[in-house]
Amino acid sequence: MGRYDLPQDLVEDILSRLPAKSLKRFSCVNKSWSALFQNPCFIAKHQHLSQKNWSIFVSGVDCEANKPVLFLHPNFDDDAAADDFDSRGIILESPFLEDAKKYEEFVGSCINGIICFKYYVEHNKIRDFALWNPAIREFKVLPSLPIHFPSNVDYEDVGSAFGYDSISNDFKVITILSYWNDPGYTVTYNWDPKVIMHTQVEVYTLSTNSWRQVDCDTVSHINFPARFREIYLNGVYHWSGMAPGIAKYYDVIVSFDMRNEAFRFSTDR
Amino acid sequence: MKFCTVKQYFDDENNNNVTNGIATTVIPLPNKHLKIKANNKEMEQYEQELLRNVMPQELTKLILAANYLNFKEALDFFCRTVANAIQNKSVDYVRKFFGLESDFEPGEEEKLCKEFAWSFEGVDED
Repeated sequence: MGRYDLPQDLVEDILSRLPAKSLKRFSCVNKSWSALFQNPCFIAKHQHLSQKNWSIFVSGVDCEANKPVLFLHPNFDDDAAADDFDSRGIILESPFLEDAKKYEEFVGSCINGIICFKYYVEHNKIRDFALWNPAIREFKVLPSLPIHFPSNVDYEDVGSAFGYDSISNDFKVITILSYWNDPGYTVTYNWDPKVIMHTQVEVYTLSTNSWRQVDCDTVSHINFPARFREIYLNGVYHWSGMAPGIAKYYDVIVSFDMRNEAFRFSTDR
Repeated sequence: MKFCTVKQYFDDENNNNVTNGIATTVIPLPNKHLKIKANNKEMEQYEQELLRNVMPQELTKLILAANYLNFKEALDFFCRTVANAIQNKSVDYVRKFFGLESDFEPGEEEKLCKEFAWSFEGVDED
């Protein structure tokens, strides 16, 4: 060790402040650095430091190129950033843009640097999901969503959610499907009270890489007409919905807690 | 005083890590910190001015000095500066900077470089 060589703990301190792109490149420095960057303790330290520059995630559409675009913006604590909105943003290239026939929809927001999106091929109702980490340019296609009702029954993809369970340190994706017990019934926005609607809720956890059905009896009577009105706050997802009353439908808010995977709903009635 | 090792520094004869040049950089920092503690931007500008003429290699000495003096804010600042200086540099530059050599088997390094080829885009020339 040379006279001014840094001890290992200080080298690691410096490295934990580097952006993910630099770390990927510096995995080529030597074997011990390559191993260090995969060490869970180092990763946790790096993540903790990078969370101080939390980003705002915005998705939009580039009308000229006819493709979705994503922006990540730095923390707006800094006054300068607020004036300089355009140049401080980063445009992310989604990995699925090559296939023009696939439509993408982003689920929720960016959590710990991970983005979830679902995509489907034109005219096909079946959605696939993927998780994407743009910092290291890796994405993971989720296994296909299991369907627990007959294929001749019509169904609707009501909504999805992407969240993080802080107790088990796991990422989760939730999908709510509504289906009707009448094979001849087709989904429209004029609800037919004689046809019974059922709900299937599936939860995907990254640690098990599999979907699992969860109990949704609490909310199976609720309709979710406003698909994109959702909020994710403190580990709980909230959707607006409508529940059948005696004479008419009334507004409710449905909540799903990522930690205990339980539904609740609240109303002002 | 915020850190007690300063007295030790002045008493210590065997002080290879902290030369006079470094002392003039590191020692004034706590007073400046106290004066403009609340204002991050002003502190950032002061810090950048301070290190404008310091080569990245010199920063290594500053880090060792700050570590020896147990001066956490300066250590944090110097490590952050080194990270900013090296983040866009090549693998070779970083090896030289930290005095490291490649210990990969032939072909292993190429495989890694290929796998992370995207991370080599836009890297500063050596």
